[in-house]
Amino acid sequence: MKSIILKSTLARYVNFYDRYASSVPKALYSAKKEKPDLSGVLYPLPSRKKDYTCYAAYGDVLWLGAPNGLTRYDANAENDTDKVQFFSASRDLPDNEVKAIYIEEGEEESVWVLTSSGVANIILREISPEEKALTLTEETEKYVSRRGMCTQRTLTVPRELSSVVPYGHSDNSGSFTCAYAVGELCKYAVYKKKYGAEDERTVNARKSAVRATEACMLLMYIPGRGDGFVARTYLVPTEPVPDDGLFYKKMGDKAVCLPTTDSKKKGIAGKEIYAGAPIPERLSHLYTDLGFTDDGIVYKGDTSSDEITHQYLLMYFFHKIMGEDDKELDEIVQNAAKNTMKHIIDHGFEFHETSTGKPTTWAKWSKSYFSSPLGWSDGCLNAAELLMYLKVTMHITGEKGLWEETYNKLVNEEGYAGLTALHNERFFISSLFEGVEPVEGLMYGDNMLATCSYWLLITLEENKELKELYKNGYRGWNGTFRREHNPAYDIPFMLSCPEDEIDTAALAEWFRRVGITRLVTSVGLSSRNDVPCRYRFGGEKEASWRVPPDEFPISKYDRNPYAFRDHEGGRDQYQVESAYIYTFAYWLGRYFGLIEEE
Amino acid sequence: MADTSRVHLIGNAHLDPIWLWRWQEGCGEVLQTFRSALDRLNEYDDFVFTCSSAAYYKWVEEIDPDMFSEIVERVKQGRWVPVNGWWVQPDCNIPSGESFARQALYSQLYYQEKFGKICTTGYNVDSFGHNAMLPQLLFKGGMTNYVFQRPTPNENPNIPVTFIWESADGSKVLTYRLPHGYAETGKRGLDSAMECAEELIKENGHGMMLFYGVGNHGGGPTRADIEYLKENMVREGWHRMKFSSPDEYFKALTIQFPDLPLWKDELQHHASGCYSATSLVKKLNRQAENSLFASEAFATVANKEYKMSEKTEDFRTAWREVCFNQFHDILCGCSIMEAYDDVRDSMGHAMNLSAKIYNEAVLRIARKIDTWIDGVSDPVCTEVRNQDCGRFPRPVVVFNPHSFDIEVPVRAYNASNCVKDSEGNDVPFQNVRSSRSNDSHMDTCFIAKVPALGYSTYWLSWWRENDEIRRVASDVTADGLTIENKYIKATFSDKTGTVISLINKESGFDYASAEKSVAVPTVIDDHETDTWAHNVFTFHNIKGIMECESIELVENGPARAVVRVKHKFNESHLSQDFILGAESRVLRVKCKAIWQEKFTLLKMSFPVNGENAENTYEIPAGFIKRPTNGEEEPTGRWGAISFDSNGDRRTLGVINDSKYSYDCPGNDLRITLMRNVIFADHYSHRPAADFNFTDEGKQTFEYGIFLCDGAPEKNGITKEAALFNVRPVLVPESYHKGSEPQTKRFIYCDKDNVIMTAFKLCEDNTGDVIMRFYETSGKETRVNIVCDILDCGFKADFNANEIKTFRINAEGRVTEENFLEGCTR
Repeated sequence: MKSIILKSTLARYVNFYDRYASSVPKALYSAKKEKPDLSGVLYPLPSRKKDYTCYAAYGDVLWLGAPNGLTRYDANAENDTDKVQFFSASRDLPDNEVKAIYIEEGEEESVWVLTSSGVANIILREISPEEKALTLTEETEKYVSRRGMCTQRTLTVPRELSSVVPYGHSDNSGSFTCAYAVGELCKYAVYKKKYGAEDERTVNARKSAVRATEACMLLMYIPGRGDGFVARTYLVPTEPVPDDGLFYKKMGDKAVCLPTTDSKKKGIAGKEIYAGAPIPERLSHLYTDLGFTDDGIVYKGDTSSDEITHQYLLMYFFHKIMGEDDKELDEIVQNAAKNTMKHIIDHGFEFHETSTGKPTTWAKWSKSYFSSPLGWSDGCLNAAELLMYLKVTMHITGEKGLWEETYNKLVNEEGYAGLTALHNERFFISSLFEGVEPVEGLMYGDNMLATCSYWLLITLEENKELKELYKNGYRGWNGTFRREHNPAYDIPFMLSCPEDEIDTAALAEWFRRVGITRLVTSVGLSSRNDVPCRYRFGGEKEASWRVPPDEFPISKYDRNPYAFRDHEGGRDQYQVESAYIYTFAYWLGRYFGLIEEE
Repeated sequence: MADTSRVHLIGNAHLDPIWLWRWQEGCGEVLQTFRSALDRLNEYDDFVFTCSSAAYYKWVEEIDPDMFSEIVERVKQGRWVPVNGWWVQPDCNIPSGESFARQALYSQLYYQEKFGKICTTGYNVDSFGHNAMLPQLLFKGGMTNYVFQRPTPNENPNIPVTFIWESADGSKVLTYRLPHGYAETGKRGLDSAMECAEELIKENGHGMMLFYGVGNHGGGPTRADIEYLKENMVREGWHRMKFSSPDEYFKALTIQFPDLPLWKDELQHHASGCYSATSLVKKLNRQAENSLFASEAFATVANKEYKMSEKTEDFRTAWREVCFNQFHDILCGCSIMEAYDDVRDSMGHAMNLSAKIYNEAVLRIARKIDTWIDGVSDPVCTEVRNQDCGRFPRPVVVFNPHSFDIEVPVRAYNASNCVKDSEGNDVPFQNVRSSRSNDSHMDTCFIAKVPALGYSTYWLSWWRENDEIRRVASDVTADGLTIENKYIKATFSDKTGTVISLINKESGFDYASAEKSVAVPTVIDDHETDTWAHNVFTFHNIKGIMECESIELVENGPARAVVRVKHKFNESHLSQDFILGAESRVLRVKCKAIWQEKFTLLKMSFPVNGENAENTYEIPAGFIKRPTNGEEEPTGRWGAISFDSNGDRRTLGVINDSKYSYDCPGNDLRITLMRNVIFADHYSHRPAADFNFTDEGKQTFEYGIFLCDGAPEKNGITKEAALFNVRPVLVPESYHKGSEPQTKRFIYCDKDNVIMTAFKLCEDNTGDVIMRFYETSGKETRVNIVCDILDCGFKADFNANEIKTFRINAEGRVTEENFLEGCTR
């Protein structure tokens, strides 16, 4: 298996200034505005050659200004994609109309850019891949983490991270935090091996991993229903409850369904359900340490299979990496796995919402769901998810019994194993039915769910025929996720199907070009001359090439990385997201020895 | 889910515009059939008629506009369903990828204009085989479904009835294989088809199609057929039937959410003799494709930079001729002999249009180049003949239409004693025998380096008798019957005229020996088959090996070395010039044959020694790996055999300029150069007659030998084949001032495995430019493309074997489109 070779690379450090701010060098205002001669440049540039209005040189590197942004041209860059880098509003510039460029004398590549509405100072600084991971983690822990849950937070002042509001939830707090936790667990394992258990770096990594795991496990216990039901997220009494889904407020051993548009529509606003099952103190300390009690805790229901799938991924990794080190938490993990598994089996392979008496909207693994028009296409992934849950439950608890019996029945009698291999074909038919191409019809978050499910299934399945079947099923996803060159998908794939070829150079590019902050700032592609817009069959617009992450709008794994997007609107510069997008992939690669750093 | 399966009755008329008749009769057949179909539509309220081929609609529009209006109305009502967004039902193996793009472009835009919508179902119910790239070629032409028939279940039982067909780039189309013919008619035929459909519904769990209507020479559904079907629409214990169309069938199939198998291969074989029969039409097809590519590219450059008027309409006319002649019974060489007179005229029209535009384009460009030499117009007293100005070298400009830089031998009229490039550097050249018989009898052959879609100016000094010729060192040498350059060393037998040593100088591996020589002209007996070679899939019955009549080294210079070999077999003759150019990776073989052997094939044989042999063949816009099982295979511009020898993977490839058929029994790669059988001989029911034969008489063609280690597609064979087929053109120039430099490129593409197949103006007359490229090596590739004359530079990610079409507007903004250029969006 080929390794992913990572090197130190230049990262973008950007600060904005008002025009004529005292810290802006005066030389910027008097920088000469001369059109560059680009006639010999045989390389696509983001602006038309004739549109560049000014330039400055840093050694052999040319910085070029145009009305649609700033271009850095380094003909000697080692990697093709790094030869031309584009800097644009609002991530790197106050606006796109570049008026003048001035490069400070010195060893560091520090570029001052005057635009119509302000000044940007862009410093390119060499950073190692690991330093990038640590920098991003620091940002997440400091600004994003909400009692250990790492998803996203809103800012009150644009670009000002310190202005994060003290609350904020996500529909998928569990999912995203699970991925973050897995990254932290892998980091802990890497450091423990490299530096020893007592080293400060290892100790800190362990703390971070434990906290993230506890936060995720808390979601598995916090509903207090005692039936293995898992919450999407939870809020303490000081956090506002959004009108977005089903929320339950705990009071004593009951929880009342709060009035929201959704709960009113379903006719369950005000309905009380059981909430008296105890929460392990090992988990509840995350809010009791802050002075809160169970009363008044609000949790979000209508949980999807996304949450469950990520939770089982985390449970597998926690048990594998820290099970021996932290038996108390491991026991909590094992019980959570069993309770939730039992819930699913008891409810006919569906996640049951007590207040409605019906399955939740997006957590159905039953054959009846699979025979519905929507479930017909979902069935392949969902079958793999369910089989994975059973395998993980058996693996971490060491118990067989009901889990094995159910697994065997699903595989041998219900056709679930065979179903896992039909995704490619069924997804195509469904897309045709919808009048779109598969890449247009895809929920991009499903790529991660498929990764979790097939990867662990292949890892844990011992039967050769079944393993091969699952591998073929995994390959059936190639059409949609292989093109992303996202190491979070490709590293698990490399581990699962080592005989298949993966473009490790493309993965290295991804690591190299992820930025050093997860501040959500938009960038537009439509003004770029070097990015053709591709019209898909169903009308969706895509870029003809995968623009590097630091020139693409910030997004989680659940967005099309080719989406031909423009400015994001309201969230622009008012949000910061979890670093898991980088740390999960990076530490996974390090843990499994697939990343080599030069 | 409930069983909603139905038998969809597809009323159709298979129309061959040329086959056992000429096109004029085919045209009449279309008019009669369309009238008949409209009458049936008037008589039966629920009857639906399905018909393909934009060319037929255009005939009707031009000849009978009233009837065309009736059709337009019926299309609006959904009762007349145009299918197959292509000009005709072409052969689906021979046309190039670009040709398939044009089939879609000109047809779908026609349908859009006339009917307000494009076709979503591809439909080639009689074509003889279907290349593995068709899913992409259909999908990018706006089609999501496909209907075909051949090979039939008897010929290839592995192909399912309904399946998802995927090409190497990942494109998919929902595909239906006709299980029971496209022209069922009469009670017996319909009963049998109904039983078959019912059985298949039970077997597969979803609906089926039943095609009915008199066909081949048109006709369509008869009243008796329609009424019989209406009587049987509902039968106890049977699934219901309904008058329908392929579009409706595929929609209904999708709604049934069937689990369909995925097919990632080609669909072969039916008529294995068709890819070599009637060399004339194959050659015309390749020449027209090549000419139109080059002409359109420079016409577009000249339009954008040198004030040449738009020639879109002319190119549309020319391409439509080419598309028409790609009809399966025409291009497969199985029509009557006189039909090929029409084909020659039609293709000649296309190529003449192309040649005139090409000439105008390159001259417009050349006239702007600064070729002025001070003093050249001073009055002097010297005799001036032809292009000789006496004291100064003459400029010639070489144009390269490809998207990659080239370095190749080119030829200019008249002899020279010195050739220099625009920087004043000496260039390897030699004077070679000209095709005329006056003056010096010599032309100049020199090595030209020309940038991508660009030109280079060279300066040729006039040679006079007794002039000393300046010999410039190059990598070409010759010694006896051995010729070599830096890539290849070939030694010939003076006894057999075959190659007894063929060394890849990069690896040192020798592909041939005295015991097992290569380039062996082998005559195959072909008495037992018809023109199609129905039910015959191999041609292995060797009649004899051609005997060597003479062999000699006829040229030995710095530009090239040439060995001429002459063979004979009975009264047939073959002359081959083995030409090894400086810096050339291909040993080019220029052939002339006088063929008299009836019921034969001529194959050139390249047997190799090794294990784990595998063939790789070019197919439209891609390549395919096939086993070395000896079956006759449809092939594009190259075929190759790769094999293991002492732990190394070796490859021998054979490129061609006009051939489409190879085989490989064992380790013997053989290109089929001719197939001389009776015209339109259907299942060989031959009366006693003095028949005409498909490849009788003089034949000219070229093939080339390419050697590499590893897979051919990953070592540049497609690029070599492109260059082998589309050569640069040389324009003699005069002395003039000009604004342009002596060397210029108009495009830059940084990856060798991404090749341009079109550089044209958009069909919507906006002046936007269309560029089309495809990936040739089977690997994902990011490419950088820069075109300064369009003010554009952009990147694109190509999947393996993906075709991408880009549209560049006046502001240099680029969109990626399908073959329809964004005109239907």
